[in-house]
Amino acid sequence: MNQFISRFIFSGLYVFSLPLWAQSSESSSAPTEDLGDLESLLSEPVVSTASRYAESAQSAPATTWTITGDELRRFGVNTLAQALNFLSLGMWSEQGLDYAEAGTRGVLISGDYGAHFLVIMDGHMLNEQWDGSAYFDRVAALPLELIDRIELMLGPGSVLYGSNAMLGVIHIITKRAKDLNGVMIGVESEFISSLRTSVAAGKEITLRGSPLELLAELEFYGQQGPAQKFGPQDYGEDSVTGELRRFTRSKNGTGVWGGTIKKGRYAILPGGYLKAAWKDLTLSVRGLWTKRGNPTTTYGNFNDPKSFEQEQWWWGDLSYHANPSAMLELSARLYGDLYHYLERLPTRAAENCLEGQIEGCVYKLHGDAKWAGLELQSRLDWLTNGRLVTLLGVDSRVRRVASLENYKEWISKQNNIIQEYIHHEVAVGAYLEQTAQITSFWDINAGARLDYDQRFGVHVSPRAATAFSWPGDGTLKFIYSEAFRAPNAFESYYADPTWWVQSHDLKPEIVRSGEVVVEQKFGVHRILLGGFISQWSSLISEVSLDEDELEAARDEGLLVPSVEDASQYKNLAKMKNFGGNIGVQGSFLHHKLQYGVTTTLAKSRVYPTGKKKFERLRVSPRIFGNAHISYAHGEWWPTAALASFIMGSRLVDDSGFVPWTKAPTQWMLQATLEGPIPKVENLRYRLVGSYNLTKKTAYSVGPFASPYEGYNKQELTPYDQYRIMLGLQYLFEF
Amino acid sequence: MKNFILIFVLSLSAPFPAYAESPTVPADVQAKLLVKVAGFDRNFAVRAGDTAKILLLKKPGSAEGERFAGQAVEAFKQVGTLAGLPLDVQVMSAKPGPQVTKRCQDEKISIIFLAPGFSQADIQAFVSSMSDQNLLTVTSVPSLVDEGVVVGFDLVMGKPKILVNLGQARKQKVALTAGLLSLADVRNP
Repeated sequence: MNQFISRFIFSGLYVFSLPLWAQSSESSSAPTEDLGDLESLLSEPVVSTASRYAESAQSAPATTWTITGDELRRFGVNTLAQALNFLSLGMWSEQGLDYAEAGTRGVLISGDYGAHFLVIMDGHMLNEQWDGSAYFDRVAALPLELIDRIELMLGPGSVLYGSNAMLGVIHIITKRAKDLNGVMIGVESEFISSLRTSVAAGKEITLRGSPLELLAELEFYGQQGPAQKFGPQDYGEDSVTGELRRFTRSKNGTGVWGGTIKKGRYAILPGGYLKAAWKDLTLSVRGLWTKRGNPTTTYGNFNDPKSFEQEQWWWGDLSYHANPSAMLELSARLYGDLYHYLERLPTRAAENCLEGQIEGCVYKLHGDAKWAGLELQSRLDWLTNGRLVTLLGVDSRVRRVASLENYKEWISKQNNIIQEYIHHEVAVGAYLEQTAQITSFWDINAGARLDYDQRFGVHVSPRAATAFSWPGDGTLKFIYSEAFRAPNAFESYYADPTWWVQSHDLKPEIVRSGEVVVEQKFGVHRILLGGFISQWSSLISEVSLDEDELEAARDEGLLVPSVEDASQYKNLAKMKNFGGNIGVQGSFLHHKLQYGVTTTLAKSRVYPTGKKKFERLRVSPRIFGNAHISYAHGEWWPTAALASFIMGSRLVDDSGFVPWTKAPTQWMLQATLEGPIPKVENLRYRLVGSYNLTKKTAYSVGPFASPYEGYNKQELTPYDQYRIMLGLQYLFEF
Repeated sequence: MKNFILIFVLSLSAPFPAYAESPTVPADVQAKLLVKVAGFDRNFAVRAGDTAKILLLKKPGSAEGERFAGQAVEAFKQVGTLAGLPLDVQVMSAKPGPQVTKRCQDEKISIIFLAPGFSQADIQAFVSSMSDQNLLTVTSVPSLVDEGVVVGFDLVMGKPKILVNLGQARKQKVALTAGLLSLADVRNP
């Protein structure tokens, strides 16, 4: 903790030492005009996520934070995970080997595949409908060159968005065609393990007398390595064969897990995005195919390139906006998605396979979801002056979810499908939000959303907020909000007569949150102070069945008679969380020098059985924060930027060890130089260097992630200690 | 639900008017920005006299323009003054033309603020009629600055941005300070 505090103070001092002399030099050459008030107005973010229409961030009924596309480029950010760590307030990401999890305000629910966040791009949901997953790493395949800004809404957001918006809503908003007005070709490489190429284009043409805006991007990302060393972990015998367990494709097992991974660590990712806007119609289409290796899974072979996860995703979204009268705005959105997931895990270990598969097997999990929906929304400005506004909407969706689990025998290739389902479902959400400006300094906002879903029935998510503002650009907000996560298809439908009983009455997980936020602007500088408390209930967790439940399941034929242990998902766990955060951002020297510092302190307690005994939440720090600074001189000089992220120690995942294993404090630094190539018009470069002062993540790895007889040492996944990336980008202007 | 769908379908079947772009910055933010920007016009005090008069022009039949005007008027009320002068906001429903020019002269209007709803053709005629006038023109729709409106507001990476058509500003005797121009995206220099 002392080391963490001293490192964080150092980072903060470093961030602020430059502005101290910059401010004095700025004062000595200050213009005679007082532009302070105007600059303050121009620095106020306009957000659209909290209320689903554009408003100033100070007016929004939620804590919001905006990361601009310029900041992403300036600070060398390539993924949503990096954006959260280096540039956000209150959100952070925990990095595994080649995947990332995310949390808000000290709460990260490890193993949820991002399902407690709602991630949206241009109004389209990026949480797939089979597992509810959302991604924060490279697999998210965000069209980086097209991003105008990312709006973060902290805390529960189901009142307008429905399921998944428990930790927050992350809204990626792309540019307009005229913001690009050309074709941009880019290539970037992280030495020597990855390559990314992209072609982005934006053009406004005229169609039938009206402007047609076209925006598109194609990208390809490929990664191999870098190499990392794991183990050795001396596991011993396969519990089925009695021989030394096999961890590779070789017929002869050594009983030892570990080695150097490289060929099994890879990712391939082609993707594309197109947005067209004509009059009041907007069409967006996206296609994505990803494949990434899974080299360290203990359910498959170690460092096997044929052990991977693969996804394909196509979606389309057509929206229309109309103004039938001064009081009424209408919009409609028609959308559809096709999603397929495959996990392939080849293993030569008999104990990971079905009875009789002595030589091993290839495990395949297929997940499939197709969904389409129509959302209608109306906004009534009753007095046509913005003081009394009602937002009313309904979003109806049909879904087809399917899954199949197959253990294909290693030698004979015989398929053994142990679990298969197809379900057609309907989900409808209706929401209402009322805002009222009582006086020039007092606003109130109240709303609720009613969701019906065949998986759980009916659920209501309310929100109430009030804000007081005072002269001099200050605001005080009080916010109460709730959110939920619907059980996903796996939780609702999975069954295996050898060890798992299907859950028939799962309810949504629920979070209830209260927060107080004070925001004050001093010209172009903004300070935000917030305090929050949240209660989580009905959290879905894996529970072992007791003797009575086992007997009942056997009697009903849900379990084979010989089964003595089985599990089921239940709504059981609870959690409490409270804390505070502070964010400061601004600029000096007419915006040439930009800075930001944020810190979040939080305490979380989880009650696994829903009763009094509690534990500390895993993979969740009690303190984290970031600091960043950049200077853009202009002309042909590069923009120099430095970003830092610090996270306190936290319990590792899946730890059953006593005492709990802790991951050390993490400190990451990232420095970027970005600018034009001298004498070559429209050609720009970006050089990024990042360094992890910490060596180990909060994720355990290997067969001894959990306690094992005679083995009490837990290995943690290492970080890639440093990365250097060089990129070039050329713009062909129209 | 049925009424909702009926209204939606009826609005789709209505004849499409000539397309007019929508504003990107909320009306209340634009109103506050306009008040600040006008104060950085060196000729404003002489032009305005003892009252800062704004003519908020909305296109007849434009629902969006009507709504924007109402929200902007409400925001102007809360501001109250412009460059130390009392603020007088007048709303007029008309297409730009001689009628508007005459009103500006008769009423000693110093700023015309265009609500959304005007097409490019409307603005082109409006700009040519403004060239000899001593008047600050402001548009709520950013693309119309390139068509000749002196000042507009756009949303760039989530923050408001001032757009200035400097060539047109000179023609209309609007002398914006260097400090303000340093914060703006200047067109037609």
